Amino acid sequence: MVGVFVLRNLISADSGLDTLQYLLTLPSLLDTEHLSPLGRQVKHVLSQLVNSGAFYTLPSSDLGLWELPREIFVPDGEEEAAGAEASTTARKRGRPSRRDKQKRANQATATLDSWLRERQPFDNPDTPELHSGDHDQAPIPISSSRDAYLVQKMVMLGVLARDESGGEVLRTANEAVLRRLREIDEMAASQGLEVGGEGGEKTGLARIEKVVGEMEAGSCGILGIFGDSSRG
Amino acid sequence: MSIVPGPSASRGGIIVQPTYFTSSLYVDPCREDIETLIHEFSQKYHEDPVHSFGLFKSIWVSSGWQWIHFKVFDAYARDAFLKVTIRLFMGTFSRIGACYINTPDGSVLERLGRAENVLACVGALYGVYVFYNTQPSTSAPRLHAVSSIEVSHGGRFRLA
Repeated sequence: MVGVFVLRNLISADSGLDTLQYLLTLPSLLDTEHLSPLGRQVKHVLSQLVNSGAFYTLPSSDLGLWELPREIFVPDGEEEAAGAEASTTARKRGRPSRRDKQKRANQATATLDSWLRERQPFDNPDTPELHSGDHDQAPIPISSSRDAYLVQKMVMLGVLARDESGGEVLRTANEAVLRRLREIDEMAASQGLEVGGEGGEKTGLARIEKVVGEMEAGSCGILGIFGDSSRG
Repeated sequence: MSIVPGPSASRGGIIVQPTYFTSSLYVDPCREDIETLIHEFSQKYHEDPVHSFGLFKSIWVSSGWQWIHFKVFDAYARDAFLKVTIRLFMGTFSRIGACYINTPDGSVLERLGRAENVLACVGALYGVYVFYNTQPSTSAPRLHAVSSIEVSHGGRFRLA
């Protein structure tokens, strides 16, 4: 092996030796008894090629232009590893390519799908749950959410009715809401704005004042607004 | 860069892209096939040393190499196919030729390799000769053919 190594170094130092020269000296290598029968045929083949001008000499290059294969095929499934190697070596620059965008869109769709699937049970009106303060609820159908609300409201009103102080709690809550709404109305008015006045007496502060006033007569106040309007 | 088939410019048909032939999908199996061909020639040479070219031709035909020219018809892809295949044949000299060296007087090659290596080079020479000269020259349909065998010049055995 040492001999081969040394000789290879000599070859790279000798710029005169190339493939064509080696080919043309091939007949001279056939001088053994074992190979001599090849001589005539090899000479004929070589002379045919040379005389027809078939050999086209290309300039030498150390840039690896002649390395084959030039492109390495990576089978499906293994491209993840190849891509990971590439991403660690070089960070992508410039705008995301169409392929990157497609990849991101697919990921977003998959995330959204799994997110929706997690929230699927809320679609069932038989198992209503109260989610006050849960702002990222899934957009469940209006009819089922309204039914769930009515059921939950009746349950809560029933609990309050059983309690002696239930009516008092309800009235306090109603008055607190009314007081808060008045504050908001004043703050808005001080800035020249109006809150919830678009629908006349059917919406907004006037209506809240009206239903809170009616509580003395036994209504359930603000909680009754939705139920009444849905029936009416 | 794409190695999957794409539409041709002329008739909207599907063609194989030229880059397919420089990719590992074509190069690696083709190189193996060439090695198998040359190996078989080296093995059977002893049976009939006088008619070595006839022996090579029979191996060429029996392995189905004569059909290789019908692999691709589109001129653009065919050019890449022919050039790469010729380069792969020539690559045999590059690999084996690295075992030889010019002696200081520059005239005679000192033999370092074994007789099998020389035999393999003869097989590769026959291969490139037959492949180059059996390119179909038909007019209907016209089939692209290359008119040269590319060889590298310089200090190293560079081809393939």
